[in-house]
Amino acid sequence: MNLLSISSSPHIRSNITTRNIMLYVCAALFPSAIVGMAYYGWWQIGLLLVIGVLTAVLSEAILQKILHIPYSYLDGSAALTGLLLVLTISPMSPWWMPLIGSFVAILSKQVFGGMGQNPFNPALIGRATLLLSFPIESTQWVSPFTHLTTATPLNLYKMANFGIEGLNQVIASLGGTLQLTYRSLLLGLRGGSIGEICLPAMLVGFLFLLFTKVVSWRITCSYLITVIVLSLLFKLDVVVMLLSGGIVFGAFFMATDYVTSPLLPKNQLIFGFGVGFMNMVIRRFSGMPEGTTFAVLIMNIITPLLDQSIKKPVGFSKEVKQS
Amino acid sequence: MSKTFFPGGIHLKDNKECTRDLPIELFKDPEVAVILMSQHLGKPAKPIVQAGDKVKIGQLIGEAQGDFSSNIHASISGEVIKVTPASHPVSIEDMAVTIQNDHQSEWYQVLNTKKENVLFSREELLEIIKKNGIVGMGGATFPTHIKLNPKNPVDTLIINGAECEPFLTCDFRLMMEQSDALLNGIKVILKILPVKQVIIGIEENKKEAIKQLKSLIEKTDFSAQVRVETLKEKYPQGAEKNLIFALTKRTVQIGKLPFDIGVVVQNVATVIAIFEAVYFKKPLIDRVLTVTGYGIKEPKNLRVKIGTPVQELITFCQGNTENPGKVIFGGPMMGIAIRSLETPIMKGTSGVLVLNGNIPYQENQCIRCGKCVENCPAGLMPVKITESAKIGEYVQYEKLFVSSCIECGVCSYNCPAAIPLLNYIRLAKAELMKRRNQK
Ligand code: SF4
Ligand code: SF4
Repeated sequence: MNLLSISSSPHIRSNITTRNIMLYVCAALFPSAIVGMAYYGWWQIGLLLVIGVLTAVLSEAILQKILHIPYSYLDGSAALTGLLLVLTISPMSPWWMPLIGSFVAILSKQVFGGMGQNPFNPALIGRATLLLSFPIESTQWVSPFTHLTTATPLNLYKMANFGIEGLNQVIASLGGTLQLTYRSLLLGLRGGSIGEICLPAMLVGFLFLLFTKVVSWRITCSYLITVIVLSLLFKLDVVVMLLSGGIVFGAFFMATDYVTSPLLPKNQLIFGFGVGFMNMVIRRFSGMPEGTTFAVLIMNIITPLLDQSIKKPVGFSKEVKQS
Repeated sequence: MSKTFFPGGIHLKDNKECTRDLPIELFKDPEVAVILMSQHLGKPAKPIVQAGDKVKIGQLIGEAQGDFSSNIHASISGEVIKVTPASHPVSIEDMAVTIQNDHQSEWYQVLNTKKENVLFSREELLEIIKKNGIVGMGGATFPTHIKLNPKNPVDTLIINGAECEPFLTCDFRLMMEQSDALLNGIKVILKILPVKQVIIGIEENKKEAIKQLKSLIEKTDFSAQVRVETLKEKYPQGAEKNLIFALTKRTVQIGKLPFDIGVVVQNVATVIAIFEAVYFKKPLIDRVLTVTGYGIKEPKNLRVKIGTPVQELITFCQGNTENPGKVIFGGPMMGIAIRSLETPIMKGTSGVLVLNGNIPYQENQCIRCGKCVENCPAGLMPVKITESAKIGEYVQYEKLFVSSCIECGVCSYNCPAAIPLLNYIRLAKAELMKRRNQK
């Protein structure tokens, strides 16, 4: 008897794959990368991007070989990590910064067993390492186009301890009236990391991810709402708070990382709130001007805890549990 | 507004266009019919014929073993050539009666042709349904006489015309071509179960059927009681619990059955079979199914005798029988892949699907995207069950409500990492069963 091949159901599969998802996120970062290059120089930024992405993919391949993890370095996740890393560093970074950053990022993922096992957002581990190891190179901020050294609006604001004086400094640094300040902040005409400056570019990418259902709105929304509420509570300028520093980039692309954020919708809201809260606490009370990186990393620690909770299935009732 | 269930569910490409407009064709009686004794949930029937016996169409050849079983009838006339095990889609091999066709096409009983005389009592009707071996034809094959005799009073009858599996169109064709039979079947059920409301649930991709049934119901004398509801096109809309929720907003509690909340669900094809049994005295000896899939050149909707080897259908529809890839009884999401082309059509076979080869399940690492959790219509966490099943951590199974899984396949279908989640869940289920039985 001629036997047929069998398998259990389902017998069809959707065409969603890990690689598709990673490529979608890369595509979503594309506008921000382009704006970064346009603002800070095509060659300079382009080179950093290439180094960052290539290093990430190569380190993944090498580490997978050494650690005997099945090869998956071409599934797009390493490239994405590299891309994310470069977009969060200073535009004046020397070429070896993305090299080190990407390597550390991938290392932090692979030592835990690779894809899906890493507790921390790899790109942010890379960035944090650079920030702590090379504080000077990591915080060289320049204005777009002119490349004149400047402080980030957040720095200025913080140095004046968030007083009105600080706000005036911000206004002065961006060119005059309050109106103009908001416009400049919106367009990203200020000092900051390569990818985090231009809201419209990030928004286009994020909406694309929402529309294609790659990410859900929950983490991002609860994060941003927490930031807004706390800014009002601390009596800070909400627009400056949102549009300077890396909050929006973090809320769109960092906190939403699948692996390091919780599974259940309810917990995603809690997670978003936690990141927002930590972020604002760091900004307001710590010695550092910016806190997105560490806020996300801190909440990454909590994720496994949040993931302990079990969803109640349809038709669940107390009686059932007892029986 | 079309109704739907939540949480979970996904939209599938329905792939129904190649057969939805093709009228049901009568497939010729097979040369040899292999009639399995286990075509239903419950105990297999016991063969009551021997090799050499002459049988006629509709003659009882397998006797139900107890109440939770079902009668089996000859689907063709001829000589019994053997009573031996044959290919079975689930249990690999099972007892079957093989009949050689004598092409006399003689019936065992005189069929009724008049429609009027259905003045049976409730008990008589149930007996007719039982005697004629009617079982749920949507795939579950639950004996119908039991389902229509619930322990609790019910107030709602749901007719399942969702047909949410991609590719299949047989229920749609039945609703289009045999709407009278469907409505009369509902009348019969109403005599058995005097419910307050009858809801026919149909997915919105079958607009013609919705329209036609609506206008026909208006002309009947029970139009106040029966209504058609449009369902959103979302898989698994036709799964019993989801359908009940979509149409009545009632939830079947874990461990309970639909009749506990006053609902009975019947599939379209079953209702028509009930009608034929009651009005014509016709046992369940044939059924309508869709032969389709990428490996079939001329997909069709066919009325086929039970016991027809699937090979004949594939040949008839210009499919490749040399190297067919994968052949599935039922739909692509919940159907069963069969091992041999000699496997015969059964009462619950709603489709024959020929797919070219296997889908590549190159299992990658879970990226914790949460899609499986979000899409599970039973509200489970497939990723967690899988994690526990991989390391055999069975104490977790119960906490994760493994037994609530309806095996719809959504989690495996949509996992970006191509993890066959449902396979792991089945492992967990089986293990849980085993341990419970040991206790
Ligand atoms: S859908 Fe697949 S990859 Fe996503 S969480 Fe579930 S098991 Fe993991
Ligand atoms: S197969 Fe089971 S676990 Fe998977 S989605 Fe369906 S009900 Fe949920």
